[in-house]
Amino acid sequence: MSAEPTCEAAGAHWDLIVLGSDLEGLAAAAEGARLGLRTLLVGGDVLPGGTAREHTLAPGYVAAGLVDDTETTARALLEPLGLEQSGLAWGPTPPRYGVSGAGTLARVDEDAEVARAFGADNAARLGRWRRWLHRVGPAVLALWNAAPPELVEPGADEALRMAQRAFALRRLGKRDLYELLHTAPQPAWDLAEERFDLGAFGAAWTAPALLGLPHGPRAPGSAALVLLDGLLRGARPIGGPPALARALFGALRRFGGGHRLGLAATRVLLAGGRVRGVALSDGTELSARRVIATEGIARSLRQLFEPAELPALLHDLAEDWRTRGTVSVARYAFERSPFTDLREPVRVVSAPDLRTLEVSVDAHWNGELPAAPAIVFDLDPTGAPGGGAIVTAQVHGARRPAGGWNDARRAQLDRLVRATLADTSGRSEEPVAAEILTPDELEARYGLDGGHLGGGETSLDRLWLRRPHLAVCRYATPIPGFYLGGRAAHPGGPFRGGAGVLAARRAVRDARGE
Amino acid sequence: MKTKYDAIVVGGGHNGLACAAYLAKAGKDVLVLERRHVLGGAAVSEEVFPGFTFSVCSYVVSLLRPWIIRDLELPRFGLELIPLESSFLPLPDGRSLCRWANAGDTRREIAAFSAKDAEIFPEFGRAMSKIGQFVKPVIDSPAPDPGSFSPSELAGLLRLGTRFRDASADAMDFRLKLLTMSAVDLLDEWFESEALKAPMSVSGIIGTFLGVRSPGTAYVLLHHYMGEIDGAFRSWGFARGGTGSVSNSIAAAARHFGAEIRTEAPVARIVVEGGTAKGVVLQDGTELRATDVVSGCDPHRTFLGFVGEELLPDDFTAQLRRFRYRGSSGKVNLALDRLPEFACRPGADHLRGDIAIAPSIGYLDRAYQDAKAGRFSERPYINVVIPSLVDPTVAPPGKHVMSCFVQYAPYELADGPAAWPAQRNAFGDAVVDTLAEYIPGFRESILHRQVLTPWDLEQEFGLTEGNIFHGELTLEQLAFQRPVAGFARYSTPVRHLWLAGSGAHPGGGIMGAPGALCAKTMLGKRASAAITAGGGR
Amino acid sequence: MEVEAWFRTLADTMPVPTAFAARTHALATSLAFKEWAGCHAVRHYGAYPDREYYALRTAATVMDATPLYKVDVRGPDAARLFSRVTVRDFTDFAPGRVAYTTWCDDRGKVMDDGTVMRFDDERWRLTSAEPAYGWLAKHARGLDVELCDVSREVAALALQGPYARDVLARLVGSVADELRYFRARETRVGGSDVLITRTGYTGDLGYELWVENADAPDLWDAVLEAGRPVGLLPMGLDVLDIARVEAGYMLHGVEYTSARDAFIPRQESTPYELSLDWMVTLEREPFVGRAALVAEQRRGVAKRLVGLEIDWDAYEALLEGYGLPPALATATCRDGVPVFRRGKQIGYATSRTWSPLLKRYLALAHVPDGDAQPGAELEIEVTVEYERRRCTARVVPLPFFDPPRKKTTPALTAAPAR
Repeated sequence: MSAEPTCEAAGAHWDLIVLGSDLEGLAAAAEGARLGLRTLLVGGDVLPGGTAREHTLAPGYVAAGLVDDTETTARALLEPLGLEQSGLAWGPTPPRYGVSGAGTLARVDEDAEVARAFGADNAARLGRWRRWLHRVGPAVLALWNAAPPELVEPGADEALRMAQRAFALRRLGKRDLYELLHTAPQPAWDLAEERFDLGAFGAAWTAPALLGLPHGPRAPGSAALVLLDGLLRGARPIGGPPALARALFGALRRFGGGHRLGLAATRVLLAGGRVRGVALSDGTELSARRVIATEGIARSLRQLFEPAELPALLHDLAEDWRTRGTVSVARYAFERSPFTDLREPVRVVSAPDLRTLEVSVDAHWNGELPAAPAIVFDLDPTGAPGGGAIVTAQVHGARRPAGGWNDARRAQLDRLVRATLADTSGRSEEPVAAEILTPDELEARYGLDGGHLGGGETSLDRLWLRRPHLAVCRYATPIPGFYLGGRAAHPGGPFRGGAGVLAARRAVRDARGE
Repeated sequence: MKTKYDAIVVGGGHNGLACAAYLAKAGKDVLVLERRHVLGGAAVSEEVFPGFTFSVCSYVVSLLRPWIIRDLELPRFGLELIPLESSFLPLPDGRSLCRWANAGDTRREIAAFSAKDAEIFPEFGRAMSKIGQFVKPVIDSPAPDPGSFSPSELAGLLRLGTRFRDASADAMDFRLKLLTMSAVDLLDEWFESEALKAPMSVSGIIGTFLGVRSPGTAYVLLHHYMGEIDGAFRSWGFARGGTGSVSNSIAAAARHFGAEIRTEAPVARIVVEGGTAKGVVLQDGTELRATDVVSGCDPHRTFLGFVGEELLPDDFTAQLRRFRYRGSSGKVNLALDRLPEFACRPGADHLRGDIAIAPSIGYLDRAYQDAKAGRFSERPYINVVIPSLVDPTVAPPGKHVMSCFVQYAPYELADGPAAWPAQRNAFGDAVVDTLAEYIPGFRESILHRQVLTPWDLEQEFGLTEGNIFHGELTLEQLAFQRPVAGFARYSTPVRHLWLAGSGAHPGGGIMGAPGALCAKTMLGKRASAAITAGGGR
Repeated sequence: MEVEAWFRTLADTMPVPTAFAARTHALATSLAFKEWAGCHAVRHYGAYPDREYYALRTAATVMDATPLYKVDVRGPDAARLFSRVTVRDFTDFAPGRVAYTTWCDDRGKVMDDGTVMRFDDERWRLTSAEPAYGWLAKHARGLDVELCDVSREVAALALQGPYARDVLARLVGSVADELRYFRARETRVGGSDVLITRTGYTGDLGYELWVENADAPDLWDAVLEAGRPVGLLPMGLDVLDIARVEAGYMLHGVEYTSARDAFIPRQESTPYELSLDWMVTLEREPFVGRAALVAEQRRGVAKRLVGLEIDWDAYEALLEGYGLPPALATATCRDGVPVFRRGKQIGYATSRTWSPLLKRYLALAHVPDGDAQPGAELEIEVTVEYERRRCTARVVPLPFFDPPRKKTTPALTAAPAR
C-alpha cells in the first residue's frame, strides 16, 4: 500500500458510503459490496486499518496494531466474506497466562497447568465453567451474533424471530437460564468468587474482559463481560489486526467495492431529511443514499452534521455517550524477549488478585496513577527479529491523573509497567524502543473518542440493546439512510468487525426494501 | 395457652405483621411470634435514653404501599405520617443546597449552583414519574418468572413486555438505562452541579455494597419519585412516634382482625416433617403447630437458622449461600441538648426534612474505597434526620433526637466482622467528627449516643451481616431471583413454609409489600380469600 | 424601614418580590397576589379589577412584567442561534428590531413563546414564560455566542393603553415618536439606562420598559408621575388576562402545554396547531423541529387555535330559561370546556372571557382544521345551575380587538388632565 491518497472509485454515485477504515469500517464496506451494493469506503487516513494498522516501533520491530483484540473477533459474522481467499489464516487462541501465588507464570486456560499452579480446586472450577459455557454458549451467541431485537416497532417477522430466540433461551432449561440471568448482571467480583477465585487465577479471567470499563470488578454487570470474553475468545488471525485489516480490504476490492483514502468526510449531506451523500475535506461531494459511520459516536454525530439537523435523540446521544478511556497503552520492542520460552503470541495478565484490579481503577477516580496497576500484557514474538518480541501493555486505571499528563508522570507510568513486566517475566530487559500512549494521545493520534480503546464504555447500560441507544441499536438512525456501525454499536467494543457487518446488512435490507 | 393455629408468623417486623394482618382479615387464626420485647423488627421505636425515643434502625418511611394503608385501615390504628419537607445539603465551603417540597423554592436553590440544572430539574422529575408509573405495578404484584413454562407465567411476562413496549423509543430506552446505569452516570446526563448530583446519587447505594458510580444504582432514584404518583402520600416521611408506630399500627390492625401476637417468644426452630412445615418450637421448648408457617426473618436466618440445611435441597442451599447480604451501613442515634445549627445555614426550617452529608461525588468515591479496603469510611455519607423537630413526642421539650444513617460501615472488616465491637466507638467518633465539621459546638450538645454497627444489627436485630434490606437490592437479587430463582413467590422448598420479609420480592424498606403479597399469595392458593383486592393488581 | 425588613424576609422564601415590589405591594390594597414564575404578582390593586380594565382601554396602565425570564445573548452568531432554535428566521434581523417567536423540541412540539430583541450588532435578548437558558445553551454548540441569564437582574414594566405614548413622551421626549411597532430603542430616563420596546401583551398601543433592578423603583415613580395627567393606573394580572384574550394572544400553560411539561403526547401542540403558521419559515437552514414541521405540513395540520364568539342571545336565552339574568365576572376563565359540532365533541376551549369593551363573550378554542374557518357554527359547553348545557358559538377571526393604535403610533394627544 502506498503512502499517497488512494482512490479506486469510479464516479461519484454510490449506493453505500462507509466512513472510517478501521476494522469495523472495512468489514461494513466489504459486506455491503458482497451483498451487491455499489459501496465506497472513505477514510481520512491514507492507509486503511486505523488502530489495526501496523506500527513500526524501531526498524524491524513492528507492532501488530494498537492493541491486539482480534481473539474476540466476531468471526461468525465475517465468515461469508471468505477472508481466507484474501490471504487470512486463523491461528490458535492465544494462550492466557496469569501469575501464580508462587510468582511464576502459568497458563490459566489449560487444566493441568491450572491444577499445578493454581490448585486442583481451580482446575475443577475451570472445567465447570467451560462446561457451562458450552451449554449456554449457542443460545447466547445466537443473540450476540445478530442485531439486537427490534423492540420499538417490531413487525410480524421480527416478533417471530424474537419469540424464536426467547424460546432458544428457555430451552436451555430452568437451571441454566436462571444461572445466566443470575450471572449477567452480577459484578465480576462475585462471578470470580463463585466460579474462579479472588486471586491471580480469577484476575486473569477478569482483567482482560474489563478493559473497556471505567469500573473495577465490583461493578454490577461486569460479569457479563467475563462471560462474553469466555464465549467469544477464539482463534486469532495470524498476523493479528493488520492481517485482518488487509484481508477485509482485499475482500472489499474482491467484491468490487471502491475506496477513497486520505480525504476525510466533513459532512453528511441531507435532502428532505434523508441522506443524499457526503462532502469530503477537499470539497468533493459524493452522492449515496446510505452512509454508515464507523468512527467514534461523538465525532460522527458532531462533525458530520449541522447541529440543528441532528434529531434530539442523536444530539443527546453525542452528549451522553461515555468514552472514559481508563486504560493507557505502553508498548516496547525487545531485542531479547522477556518471556524467552514463549514463541507465539500470548496474553499475560499481571494482577495478583481482583482487589488489585479494583484499586487500579479507583486510582483513576481519585485522579492518581495506580500504584500497583493491573496490567494486561500482549506478547508478540512474531513482530520482532528472532528471540525478540513486541510487548503491548494495557494498564488499568491509568487515565488522566489530576493536573494532566506530563513527562514526569509518563516516565512514572513507564517505570511502573517495566517493573511489573520484569516481575512478571522474571527478567529485566532494556527495550530497543518504547512508547507510552495515554488516553489523551490515543485520542489525538488515533481519533478515539475519549481515548477509549473500544469505541465507548462497555458498562451494562451500554451493551446490546443500549449500544449505543435502544432506538439506534439496529444501526439505522432517525436520519433515514444514516447508520452507526462502529465499535459503539452492537457488538462493538472488543468484538471486532461485527458491528460493521451487521450495519451493512441492515443498510442492504433497507435498500432492497425501497 | 393455645397451641394450634392456621398460621404462625415468625418475626414481628412490619412485614411479618402485615402478612399476619392480611391473613387475620381473611379469617385465619394467626399467631405472631417476636423474639424481642418490642414489635417492629427493624421498624421499631425505642426509648433508648430516658425521654428520648428513637427510630432505632429504619428511620424514614419510604414506600409504604398506599393500598396497604387502605386495606388495613392503618390511620384508624394509629398511623400518622408526616412527609419530609426538604432535603438539605450542607457544604464545607459555606454554601448549601436545600431541595424543598415546593418546586419553585427548589428551582431557586438549584439556580444558585447552575441555571441549567434549575431549568431541567422539573423535567427530570416528570421523566422519573413516568417510569414510576411503569414500575409501580411491578412492586405491587408478585414477580413473573421467566424460567417457568406455565401459561399464566407466560401471560404475565407478556403483559410486562407489552407494558414495557407501550412507550416511545426514548421512554423505553430510559427504562432500560435506569435499570442498568449508575446513579452518577444518569445524573451526569441531566445535571452539571455536584451539589445536586452528589446528594441525589446516594439513594442508589443505600443498603448495598456498591458505590454511586456502580452500574445498576440509578434505579433506586426512582423510589423518590414513586410516592408522587401514589397520590395519597408523598414519598418519604416520618411516622409520628417513630417508625415503630408503623409496625404498631399494623399490629393493632392485625389484633383487631383477630391475630394473636406474642413478644419475648423467641423461636428455636421451624418444625418440618416429611418436607412440610408443621409448626415451630420456641426456645423455651414450647411446641406450637400450624397449617402454615410464615417467616418474616431474612432468608439466611429462616432457612439456615430455623429450618436447617439438612432439610433443604442442595441446589437451593447452594443458591441461598451465595445470596449476598454484605451489610454496608450503620446507625448512630444521638440525644441532643439543643438543636444543631449548621454554620453554612443557620435556622431550623431546612432541618425538618433530611440532611445529607454528601458534599461531592469524590467524597462518596473515597467513602466507598474505605469500605472496599475493609474499614469504615473515615468521612462517611451520613443521612441525618431530626424527627423531634416535627414530632415533639420523641424528645423532652427543647431537646432533640438525631438519627444518623451512616454508610459505609462494611460488615466484613479487614480483620473480620468480630472486630466491630472494638471499633464501635471509633466509628461513632468518625460520625460525630464529620458532623462537627458542619455544626460548631456539636460535640458539646450530645447528651447520649447509641452506635449500631452492622455487627450490632446482626446480633441485636437478627439482620444477617447487618444488611438492612434482608439481602442486597442488586439486579441479580431482585424480582424472580429474590431470594432464589424459582422461589420468589413467597413459597419455599418446604411445603407450607412461606417467606414474607424483605428478602422476598419486592424487597426492603418500609414498604409492607412482601408481607402483604405473601399473604395474598397464600390466600389465593387456597382460593378461600375474601380480602379486598386493594391495589394488588 | 419596617417594610424593607419585611421584603428582606420575603426574599428568603418563595415567591420572591420583584424589584418593583416595594411600590406595587404598597398599592395593592386588595392583597390579591398570585405566584408568577416564582415571584409575587398583583392580580388587581383595588377591590375589583374593572377600573384597571377601563384605564387600560381608555387611558393608560402600568404593569410589573419582571417575572418574565430573560436571557441576554451576545456575539456574532446570535442570529444563527435564534434561527437555529426558534421557528423564525433571524438571519436578516436588523438592530433595533423585536420579534415574537416560538420554539419547539425536535418533534416540532411547542416548548415556549416569547420575544427576541436585538439591541445592536452584538447584543440580543430573549424573553420567555419559562426558563430558556439551558435550552439555548444546549443548542449553542459551535456558535460564537455568550449567554447570560438576566431573569432576576432585569426588571420590566409594561406601559400600555391609548395614552401610553403621551406618558412615554413625557419621559423620553421625541424617542417615543420614532419608535415603531416591534422596535426597540435604548435611552435614558432620569438617571437610568432603559431599553424601550414598542411591544405588549394587551393588543393596545403600548411599550415595555426594561431596566436594571436597582433603577426599577425610580422608573416606576417616574412613570406614575408622568402618567398622572392621563389617569394612568397600575394594572394587575387579572386585567392582563382579559386583554390578552381580546387581543387573541395565547398563554403558555393555558392555550398550550409546553412539550417540557406534557406528560403524554396529546397534551402537546405544534406551532401550526396554535395557528402560528405566519411566523414559521421552513425554507431555510435547519432549525430545531424543522423536519417534524415539514412532515406536518405535508400531512396537513390536524387542529387549530381559533377565536370563538359565544352567541350572546343564545346564552341569554339559556339563562332566561332558568329565570336568571346574564352576569359574567371581569375575569378570564381558564378551565377548559368541550366544544361541539352538531352534538359531537370536536375540541375544547381553553380561555373564556367577557369583553366589557366589545360586549362580546369570547373564547380561545382548539378545533379540527376543517371546523376552523370563520363563520363555522359550533357549540360550547356552559354550566348553568350545576347543569351542563350547550350554547351556540361561532368561529371568528382573531384578534377580537384590534385597534389601529396597536400598530401605528398615533399623533400626540393633548391628554386631558384628570
